[in-house]
Amino acid sequence: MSADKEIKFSDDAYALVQKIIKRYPEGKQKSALIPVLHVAQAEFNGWLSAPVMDYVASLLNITSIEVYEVASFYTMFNLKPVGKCVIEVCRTGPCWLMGAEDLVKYLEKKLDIKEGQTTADGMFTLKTAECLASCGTAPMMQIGEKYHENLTLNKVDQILDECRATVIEPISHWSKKEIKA
Amino acid sequence: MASTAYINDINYTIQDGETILSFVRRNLGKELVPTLCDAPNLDPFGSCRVCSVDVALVKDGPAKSQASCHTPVIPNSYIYTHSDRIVKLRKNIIELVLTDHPLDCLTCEVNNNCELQSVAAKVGVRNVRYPEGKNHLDRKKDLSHPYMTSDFSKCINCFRCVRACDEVQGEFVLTMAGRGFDSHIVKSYNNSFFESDCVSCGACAQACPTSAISDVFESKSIVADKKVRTVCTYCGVGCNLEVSVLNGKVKSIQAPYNAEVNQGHTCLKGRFAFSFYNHPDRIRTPLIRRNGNLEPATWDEAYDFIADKLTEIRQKYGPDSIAGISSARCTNEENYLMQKFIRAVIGTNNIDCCARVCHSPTALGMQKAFGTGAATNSIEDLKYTDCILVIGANPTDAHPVTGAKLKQHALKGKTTIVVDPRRTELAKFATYHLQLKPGTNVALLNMMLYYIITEKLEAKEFISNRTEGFDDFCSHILKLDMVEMEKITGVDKELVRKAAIAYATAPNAMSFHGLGVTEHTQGTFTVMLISDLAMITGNIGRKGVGVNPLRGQNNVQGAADMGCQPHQGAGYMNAYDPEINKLYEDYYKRSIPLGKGLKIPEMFDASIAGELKALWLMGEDVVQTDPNTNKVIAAMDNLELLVVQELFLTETAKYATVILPGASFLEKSGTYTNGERRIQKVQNAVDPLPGTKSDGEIMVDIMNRMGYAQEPYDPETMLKEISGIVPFFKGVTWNNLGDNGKQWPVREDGTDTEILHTESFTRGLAKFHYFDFKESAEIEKNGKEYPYIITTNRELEHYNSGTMTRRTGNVKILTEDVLMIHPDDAARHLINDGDMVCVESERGKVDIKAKITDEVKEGILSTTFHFPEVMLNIITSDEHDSEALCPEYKVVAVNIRKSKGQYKVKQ
Amino acid sequence: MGRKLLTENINVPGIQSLSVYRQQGGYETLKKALGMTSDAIVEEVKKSGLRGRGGAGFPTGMKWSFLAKPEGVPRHLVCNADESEPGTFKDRYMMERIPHLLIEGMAIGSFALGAHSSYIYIRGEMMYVFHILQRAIDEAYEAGLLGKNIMGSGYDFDLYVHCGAGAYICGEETALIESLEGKRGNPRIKPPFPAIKGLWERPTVVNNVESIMAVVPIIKMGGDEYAKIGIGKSTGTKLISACGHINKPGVYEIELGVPVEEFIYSDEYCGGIRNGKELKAVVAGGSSVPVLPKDLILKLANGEPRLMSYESLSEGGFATGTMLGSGGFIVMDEDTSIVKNLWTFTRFYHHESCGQCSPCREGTGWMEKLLHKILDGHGTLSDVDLLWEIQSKIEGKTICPLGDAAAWPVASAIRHFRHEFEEYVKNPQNIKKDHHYYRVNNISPEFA
Repeated sequence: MSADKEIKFSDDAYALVQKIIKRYPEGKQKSALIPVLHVAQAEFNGWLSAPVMDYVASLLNITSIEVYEVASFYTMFNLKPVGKCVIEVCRTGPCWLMGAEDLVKYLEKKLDIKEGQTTADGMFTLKTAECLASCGTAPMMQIGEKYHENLTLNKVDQILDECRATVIEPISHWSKKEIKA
Repeated sequence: MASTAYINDINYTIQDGETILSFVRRNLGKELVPTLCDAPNLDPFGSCRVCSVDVALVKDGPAKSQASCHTPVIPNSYIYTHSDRIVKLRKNIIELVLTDHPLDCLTCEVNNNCELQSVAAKVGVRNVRYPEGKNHLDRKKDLSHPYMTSDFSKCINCFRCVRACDEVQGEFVLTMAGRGFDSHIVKSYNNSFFESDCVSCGACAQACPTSAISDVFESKSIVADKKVRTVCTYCGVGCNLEVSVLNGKVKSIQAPYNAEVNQGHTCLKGRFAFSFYNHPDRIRTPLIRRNGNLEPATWDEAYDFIADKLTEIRQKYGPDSIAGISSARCTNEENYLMQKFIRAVIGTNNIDCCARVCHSPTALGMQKAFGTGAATNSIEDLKYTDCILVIGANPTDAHPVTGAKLKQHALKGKTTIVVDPRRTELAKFATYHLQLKPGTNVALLNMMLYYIITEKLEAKEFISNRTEGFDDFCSHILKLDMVEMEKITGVDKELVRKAAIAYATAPNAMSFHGLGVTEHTQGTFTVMLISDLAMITGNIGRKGVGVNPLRGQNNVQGAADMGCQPHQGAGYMNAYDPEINKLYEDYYKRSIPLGKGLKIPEMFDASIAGELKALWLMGEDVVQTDPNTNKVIAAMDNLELLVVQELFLTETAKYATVILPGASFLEKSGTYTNGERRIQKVQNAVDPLPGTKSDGEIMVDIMNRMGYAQEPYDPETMLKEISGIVPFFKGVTWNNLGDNGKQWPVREDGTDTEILHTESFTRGLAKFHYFDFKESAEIEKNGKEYPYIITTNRELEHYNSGTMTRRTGNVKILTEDVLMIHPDDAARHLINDGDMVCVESERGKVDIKAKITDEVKEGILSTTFHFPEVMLNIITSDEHDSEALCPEYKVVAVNIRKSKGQYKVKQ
Repeated sequence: MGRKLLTENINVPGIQSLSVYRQQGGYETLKKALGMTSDAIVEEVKKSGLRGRGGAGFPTGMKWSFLAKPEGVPRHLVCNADESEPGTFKDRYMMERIPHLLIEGMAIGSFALGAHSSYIYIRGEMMYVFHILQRAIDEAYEAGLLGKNIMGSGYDFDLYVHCGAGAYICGEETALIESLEGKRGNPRIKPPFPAIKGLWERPTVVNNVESIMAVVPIIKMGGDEYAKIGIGKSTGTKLISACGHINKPGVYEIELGVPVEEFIYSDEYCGGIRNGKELKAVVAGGSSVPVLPKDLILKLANGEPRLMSYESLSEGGFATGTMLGSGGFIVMDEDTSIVKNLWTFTRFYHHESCGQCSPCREGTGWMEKLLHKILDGHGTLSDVDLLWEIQSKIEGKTICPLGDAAAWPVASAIRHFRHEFEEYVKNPQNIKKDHHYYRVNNISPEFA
């Protein structure tokens, strides 16, 4: 995002934000913060820059610091730029029992990056995640909104190819869907 | 029967709603149970867990460990403060905390005054068993700010700074970002202190148990020879301060937690802006003008010169050719002496003080309505009120500690009505902001009164039992046309109606007003209408209600109490009444004049007319602060003798015949009376700089020099004299004032008064008055040619003419006066943010840097007069309040244009 | 074959949709409830003996009856769908497959509590489930099952879904409320309890997804009937998320009281240990409950079979027992390194500690560091003792139960498998890499 580009939601996203705010009683619009940050992250390249957080603050009539303290608390909010596909591999006990550690190693080798890094082409960011409530279908990973479960190394290869082949929507494309709905 | 519980098997009585910690501390002292995240002025938080105790329901029964700070005491429970496992628990917690804290205590600024250190010592941590690992010891220090510092390698994540910033100051600058082990304090958005929105109140530094947040004065360091409790010299809040002195110099200032006024809080002026006191610019010797130059002289030379000259003028032109202006920055005792000097030694009632230019309409208006011209209630009443009405005041800047409390009220969602032409900080959080056109207070209050009557919300019983004049008042108000009032004020009448209903229906409503009420041609009338609002709703005479002027200067209440106005002597007794005159004559043992004295603006006129020949100014910078500078200068120029008692060579002092170097509040003793009538002790922390004298000493010297035997200045003797003449000081003695002072009236037995008019009013029944709105003559005369209205205000960082604050680090935070201008007005004149703007009125013009903001409405401008570089008062008018002659600083008709550079003030 | 109250229709094609759900009798119970008084509904729930299915097991009816009802103050029912306890995935499974059951339960519960607007707080990672719920809610609004005057009863009820953004701590009810208010998920100090001052300082009940869903069959069949299912004070059915080294991982609805042994080995449930291996240990109720070795999980200390019930699982206290918790049933085979499994749990709690309380913020980190040190072969026996001491100083010493949750796995692992820690310390050279390194393989069946 270029620095001088004005930060503003598209009309659709703005409408969605207004819809979200209405879910809470008048004067409690701060409650909309987390859902609105999800929309903002989807709209603005998958991460929350300081100007984006300021913008969200102004929409909700709260201070910027109220946004920042929240955004930095929750793991789903990226405060630094990320790749087009963020791969999150669950690593907690039940998934570990089923090979999560091996899965991370495989992805690191395959993508030639370490956990927490983004590929040089900006395509993939590899992260590990704590339990994603998919223990019965371990090992698993989440890409965007989608859960990929009962993974095998072959399946992982296929998924990565699919990611490369599809026109990549913003990472949390869920909100776009929501806008259309 | 009161319930009880056991602490270490001994039975104690529980107080209602008590936590275990407060229960233990009340009975067994502060030290028994250690804490880290607890602080006296913050809500319980429960995060450090060091305060854990064991609680059992039966003696020696199975116990559960509870964080004592937030757990209510269970009746009949058994609290064990030092069971084995609790002792181990505390030790382990501290040990864990120390794994991420540098162990450089010997070189740490808070060595020996560090809560972590003392708790660690108390729980007996001898070694830290945890292996080396990831920590936060490499965090960088932040030394960007003139006052605030941080070193987050020392942070123990207790949240005290965050809570102080939120709960005490209400600024929300500090917060905890990240999560878990990554939790870390940030300032605004990962900023340094200087870049952040920090208002430098220092509450976080004082709250921090380590040196993670501190200040450049190292206020928490124990390196001090002594600590002296005194009262702040800036605004009328009257914060108590604790001054640390090292080697005869002021080292730092903190706010005592047991202060009833400020409960451990204060602002950047009180806490940090003290370094003016020994600034190189301080005048250190008397100066006498010889051959046009101010030349150093001895005190004797100066006194002789003055005494001779005053005697000569009095003989030649009579005593009424001499006048004195006292200072609301000086102590009660000094003010008392000043008016006594002018009345008893010189023999004239030409005495006034700077209350004239701020709250004279309040004193007069409230006297007419209730009989007493002072705040009816106390700030502590904010705890009991449901609705606040803030008119013409910007307390978060001008009265920061009270402002912070008002803001907390608003933040808690309690009804807050702000009447102000500017969208002030408080207005941003208010329930109703009535953003009226400057100068239309009377119209707006009439609207509120109208709606209270038409909505039938008046307090009938109160009105019939305790007031008079209501029927007349009512029929007059009901004749008003709301559509017309709406046009005059520019405020939607429906909004006014809602606000009026909110005020009238609140169980307890409290009003506050400032100079936006008084500094108008209808200032006194406005005060009386505010009083009407309180009367019509019965909001007077109990906790959580009343009319509460936010007094501007630290002792403006006291200066008036002491008789520094022409028509009333010490204790507000009528100076023009022959009966009372006798009382004063007996007490002062001199003949006291009965003739009408001059008020400040009249003094200037009299000087220009050649009738006033000598003027004595006690620390008053009339050239920079009084309106229409050029006229004031002409008045100064025309005097034969201008004596100025000052700390610095102010704009006014430059015109002096004699300058007497006075002393600052840090160097003198006496009392100040704050805005809630609280008489508090000022105690000198250091001696006056060599060559200077306290202003009281100067007055005593000159009185003696002119033949009046006045005892040497010391507060104890002076208070004895004052309490003998001022009725409401009757029970005041230096010794019984204690740490927190007394609120007058103080009865002979020393009991004081938190709330006035509880049973009856000073004047018997309170009286309703009505007034019609009248446009200021300034607008009628100049409004066409000068279509913009400029209204003056104050900024947090500076105090009035800035004489003191500009000589402290505050000047690095706010460097200049700026002109607030609405974006549309700026666009119309092609003015960009930061451009210089020429602001011109009928009187003259000044250049100010533009700050484009929607805090002001279109057509309205606003600025300050803290800096002599601008000399804003060149453009202000000599329109005054019709009754009290308070100048109309708040409505000035001007025109604007973009200018190239700085307009130079002609000297 | 046990009775299925919640999952009876879960495999009916199209049950996600309102029409199919209604064909199966959906929303009939809501209709019944709307004809009852709110007190009567609370009474049925009390009679049913339903205990909170999120993990703490507090009686739901009792919780409801504690709700303050001050005049003129709105109150709220909040559904805790922040399912994040490692080993637990039942709520996601249910919401994904039969969203209307939750909506029906929310409507009944809210009606009983006199709440007119309620919220489902779903964890942010489950965004696709959020959409499923939102679609179902939209359908319900269109059909007049939500909104003004629902089912013509005169009762107005709005239901919203709110998503979190990645924080286990928000499963704690006061942290959840903070998060729902748009704040950091820092748990609140209590009192005041949410029943008095919860969401936006209003009286609030927070219930787990499964608890709310269970209200539907309770009202349908009556509290007394429901209470007949199960054993003792463990009434009704419970959803168990089974995972780990078993042949048939998945969500199983059991009647409380099934023997653990049967649950692990019968084909109706887990189908035994995969690859023909031996059972080593089980974490029976989500990662925070104590791990038990084979002999203690299958049998009580007195040799009687241990049952899947609140009481039986906790029989013996923490010395020999554990807890039913959230029903996250993690099975470990004979090759599993207890120490390394524990390390992943401790890393989890360290990652998820909100950072408020010092014992937890610092303690979870040190536990992870010490375990890592031991796993790396650099540990000493005193590190094991230190580990024990840290956990004992966290347990019960923090604002919220995350401290307990972090401490219990450590305590139980040391209590029952101290020899394994000692082995790591004494013979680091013997640590076989694949002893605690699992390969991704393809032997687990596709999720049913």
